[in-house]
Amino acid sequence: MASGELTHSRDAPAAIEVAKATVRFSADQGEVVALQDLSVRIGAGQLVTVIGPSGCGKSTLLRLIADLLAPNTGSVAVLGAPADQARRARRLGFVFQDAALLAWRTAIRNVELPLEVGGRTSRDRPHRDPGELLDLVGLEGRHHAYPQELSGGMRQRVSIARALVTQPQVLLMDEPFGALDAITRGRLNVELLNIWAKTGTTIVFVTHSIDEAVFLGQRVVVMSANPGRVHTEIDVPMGYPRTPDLREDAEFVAIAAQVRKALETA
Amino acid sequence: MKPETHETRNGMKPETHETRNGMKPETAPSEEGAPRRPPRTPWQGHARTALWVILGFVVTISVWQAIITIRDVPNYVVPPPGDVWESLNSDFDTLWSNTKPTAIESIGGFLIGSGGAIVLAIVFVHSRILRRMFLPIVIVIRTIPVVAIAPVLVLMLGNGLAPKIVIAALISFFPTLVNMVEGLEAVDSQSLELFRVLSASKWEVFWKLRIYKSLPFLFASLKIASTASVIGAVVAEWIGSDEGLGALIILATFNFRTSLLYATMVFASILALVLFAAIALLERLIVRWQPE
Repeated sequence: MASGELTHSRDAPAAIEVAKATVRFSADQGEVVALQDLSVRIGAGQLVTVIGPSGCGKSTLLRLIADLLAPNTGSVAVLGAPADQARRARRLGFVFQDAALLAWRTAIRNVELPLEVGGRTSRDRPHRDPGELLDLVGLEGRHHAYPQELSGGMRQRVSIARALVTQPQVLLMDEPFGALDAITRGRLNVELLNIWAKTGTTIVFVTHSIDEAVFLGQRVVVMSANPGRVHTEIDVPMGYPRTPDLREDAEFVAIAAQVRKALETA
Repeated sequence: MKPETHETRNGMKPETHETRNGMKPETAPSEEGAPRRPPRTPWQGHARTALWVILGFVVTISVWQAIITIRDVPNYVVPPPGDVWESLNSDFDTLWSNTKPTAIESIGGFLIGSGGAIVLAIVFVHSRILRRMFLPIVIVIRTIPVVAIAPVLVLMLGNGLAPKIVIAALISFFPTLVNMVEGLEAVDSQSLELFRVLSASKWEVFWKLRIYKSLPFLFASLKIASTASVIGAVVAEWIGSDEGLGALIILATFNFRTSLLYATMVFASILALVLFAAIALLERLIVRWQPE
């Protein structure tokens, strides 16, 4: 499938460059190839969504970029350096599927966590004000609430604020809104685009939802399973800011259909 | 550690929850619904519970008295509740002076046993080799009944406080060790990944993650250990001692002072309950969050 004309230049300096990466896991029945010779390039400041069937290695790809996993072969460069350097320099933010907040810390103390770990200099490095970030994600007045006092959507907002506190240049999001209801999810999608506009961070967003993938992304990376690899990449030319009405747009519907067809053959 | 004040746990009115930061509830995004709060028991509920508990005691003591009256049980076999009450009053000084050594042994043993278990748990979590080497030995020691170890320790350590404290420590040790190891390892993979993305050191993972995750497990076992330590001390006193509640139990039994025997049991039970309550209170003060 053709990718079409690129409206968002791939000439931008690469924030993420995965080259022919293969990841194998040993399992009971021999080896499982999670990713096979996967290559993908994401320009600085881009918002790219990744979609694919279960077991296609979407999460593995994110973990590769975050240096939570190392490839068996191939290479991963983040901001022009090996992924582990980007991680140690705290250029990466990661948002997990189930928020992963610490239950014994209030919202604001959760957002402060990244400033307390990773070496003595953590607090001295450039960072954003945790309180302002909580306001940015719409949690004014709830700074001192414990996670169990917050709804699922609010918890995920806190975890986004936490990921942003180190001023990361790359934000990796692993199905962050997957467990939320459709209304909350739609609202958080719009808010994420606002945050992206304000911070200019490169975002890689993994999702199960075609709608979400097309609504958020400048480009949708469709992956296929067994072994996991990039099936096709589809550009989403609509500009920003995007509003929920975009979903009724003929162009949106056409691209969503294109993604769906790609997934069927994935 | 310094948990932030969290009033909602401690029986405060629910309304304080939203107004704590001077914000109205409406500021919360409505689409996400009301925040989930832990269920709270109002004072009325506590009073009602207490009433049922008292009623339970009254019924039990009445049945006890009734059986003795109907079956004509001799006083030296089972004393009537009135006699036990009598003994609690008239023998109070004896009971109290014998409670003190038992309390010292129980608390001392509890502190040493649980403290040792916590340290060993931390070692086991950090070293698989040490764990593989010594955990089996720990389990073997655990299977030996306390009553079998007690004489050995009395032979080794004499008739003083030492063997009692050691036995109380042993009996507190095992539940704490097992639970603490489990608690320190009860860390989900996402939390570990989070700390890795933040380039946290092992030390930071321990002090900022594992310790907190283990606290609910730890307190569950400390509550068991606190009452078990009293059992340990009493059993140790049976083997060889001239003071303490255990010694008093032996004395009262051999002299057929059954009312005193029952009164001693009441004191032993109260001692265990006080220790339990102290741990429960400590848990309330420290674990102010709702463990998942």
